[in-house]
Amino acid sequence: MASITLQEVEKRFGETAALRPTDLEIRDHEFLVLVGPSGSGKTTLLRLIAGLETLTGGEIYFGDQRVTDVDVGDRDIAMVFQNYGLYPHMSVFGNMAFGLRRRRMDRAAITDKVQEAARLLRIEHLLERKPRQLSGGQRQRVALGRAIVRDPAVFLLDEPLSNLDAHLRVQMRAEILKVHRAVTATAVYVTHDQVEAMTMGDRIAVMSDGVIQQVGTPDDLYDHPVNRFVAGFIGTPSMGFVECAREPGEPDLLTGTGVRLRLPAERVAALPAKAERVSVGVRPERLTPTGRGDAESASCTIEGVVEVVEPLGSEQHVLVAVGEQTVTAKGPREEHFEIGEKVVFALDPGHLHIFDAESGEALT
Amino acid sequence: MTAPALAVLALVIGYPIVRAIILSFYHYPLLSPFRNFIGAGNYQRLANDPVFWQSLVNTGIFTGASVVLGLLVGLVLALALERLQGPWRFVRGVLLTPWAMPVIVVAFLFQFMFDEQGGITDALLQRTGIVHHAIPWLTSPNWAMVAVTLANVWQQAPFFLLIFTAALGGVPNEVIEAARIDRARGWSMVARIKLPYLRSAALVGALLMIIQNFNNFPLIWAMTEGGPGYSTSTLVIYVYRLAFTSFNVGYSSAIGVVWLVLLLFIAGWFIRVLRGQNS
Repeated sequence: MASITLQEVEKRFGETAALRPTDLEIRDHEFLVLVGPSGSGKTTLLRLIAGLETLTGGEIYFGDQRVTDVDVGDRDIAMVFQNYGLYPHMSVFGNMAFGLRRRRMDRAAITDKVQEAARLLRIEHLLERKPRQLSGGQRQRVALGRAIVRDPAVFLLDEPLSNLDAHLRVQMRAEILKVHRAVTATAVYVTHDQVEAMTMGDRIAVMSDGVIQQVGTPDDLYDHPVNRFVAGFIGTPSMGFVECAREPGEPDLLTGTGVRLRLPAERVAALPAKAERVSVGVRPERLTPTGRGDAESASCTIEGVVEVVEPLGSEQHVLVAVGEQTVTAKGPREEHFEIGEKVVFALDPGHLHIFDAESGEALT
Repeated sequence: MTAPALAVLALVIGYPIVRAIILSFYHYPLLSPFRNFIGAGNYQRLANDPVFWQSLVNTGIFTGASVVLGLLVGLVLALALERLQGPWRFVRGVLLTPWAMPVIVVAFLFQFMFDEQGGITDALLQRTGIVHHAIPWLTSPNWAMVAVTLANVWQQAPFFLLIFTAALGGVPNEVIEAARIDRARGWSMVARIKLPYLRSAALVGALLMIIQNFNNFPLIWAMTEGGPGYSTSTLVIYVYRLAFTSFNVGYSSAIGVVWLVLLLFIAGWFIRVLRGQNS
């Protein structure tokens, strides 16, 4: 088992920077999720850790051992691929045993190891089958089995659930966490699905444009996003943003089309004096519709027109046009909304996320 | 909708086959106005015809050696050139040129190369000390089959290079990377991971080349005319001689029918193996 340390790790493909110089410390036994949109550099980072790509710059350590130049086969890693990467001509047993055979483990030990992993993943009855005779979920289990059977120090997973249907994905999420607890290896998991990231990661690294934007626990990222990208990427439905300006002579008042936010003194104090234009983010569950009378007495309100109502069974999402922007409110399905109806939301100023309008950096 | 296509097929493929089968039961010299029905007479004759048997064996040797050697050379080249990138990929293009050459050009080229009097092959072998006397490549019954087979391999190996290169391109990256993580390197990567992916390509390529070599007339005819004696006479050469030198249409048709049945058996076996692999 090992921690993973990345120092100034960088990857360029010609003139294109896939990963800008990056520092990251992944703790021993930790389950770290790399999440971000396509082209954010998350898979490149994973492949650099695996040794499947060569670094343009920087160093990688597993524990105290420098592995920057160590061949992929000697790094003591195991990897689960998006399309499984199973050997189609080998049986399930052959797939799981291949890496052990290449490491010259004796036959009886190989059989024991494969049986043990198969028991853990409940695929003992599939050991004689070929991959083409398996369902997607079973193939994913075999790929997991092949990875854990070697007791690797580092366990890498590259979007392993993206080929599965929604129901199976939920099942396999739990399965992977169970396997991780059983093998206790340090795990790095790549996904573009923030729900997967939030539900699985001990910590999450959010990536965009080849840069890690923020690393933290799921709660950290949700409650204290460092910039507008992280705030918008984490959470379903996404955080809504409204553009506001500070009123001259009233430093505690932010206004915009349909927006009136009076901030408490401590939040005003945290705002830089120069921040005249800001972007204010609100989580959908913090937008609660209110009556006209209550709205007048509320310190923070957002007013808009209902555009779309999405009933989801247990709750509903209401998309509201606020000026030229759209925010989403999440609430109980008992509340009734009409398309085109004017609604006013009262907000607790403590739940507002304020970002610089230009740079997108969090201001408070 | 398929009826017109079937009618055309029946005409262009079915009719010649049926006609050949019918002719094979006749004694039918082309220069005589008469033809006699002799039942299985032609088939009885070929059973006792040593030239037919020698031609059949020669066909087997020529086809088998050409396909096996061509396949091996093509495979080794495809694996060796797999990593060529950028402008170096032109090497693969250059190596494909023999396959694009007209067979007759290849035949004359190798005739010159294997010439006992000043051919480059003997000159090189003697200069490097591998042999001390010139090898009678095309004039000795023992060497002539080697010479035509080598010429054939030279021309056909690029075909295998092409299909193996395409098949190697179809090996999923993730499988190769998974194997690298599993510590498969060098020979184990080739033997345990890549070769299984090339089986279908090898089978299809071998079947096509078996059929082509069974019917390979111009190369052998231009290099040796089936000689010296009958040492390089294959079925196609023998049938040509019977039909167009001896004008014995009935007997040559009987050999043609046996030849067709043999090819159908071989093709059927290959298709069964392929189906088994794909299921």
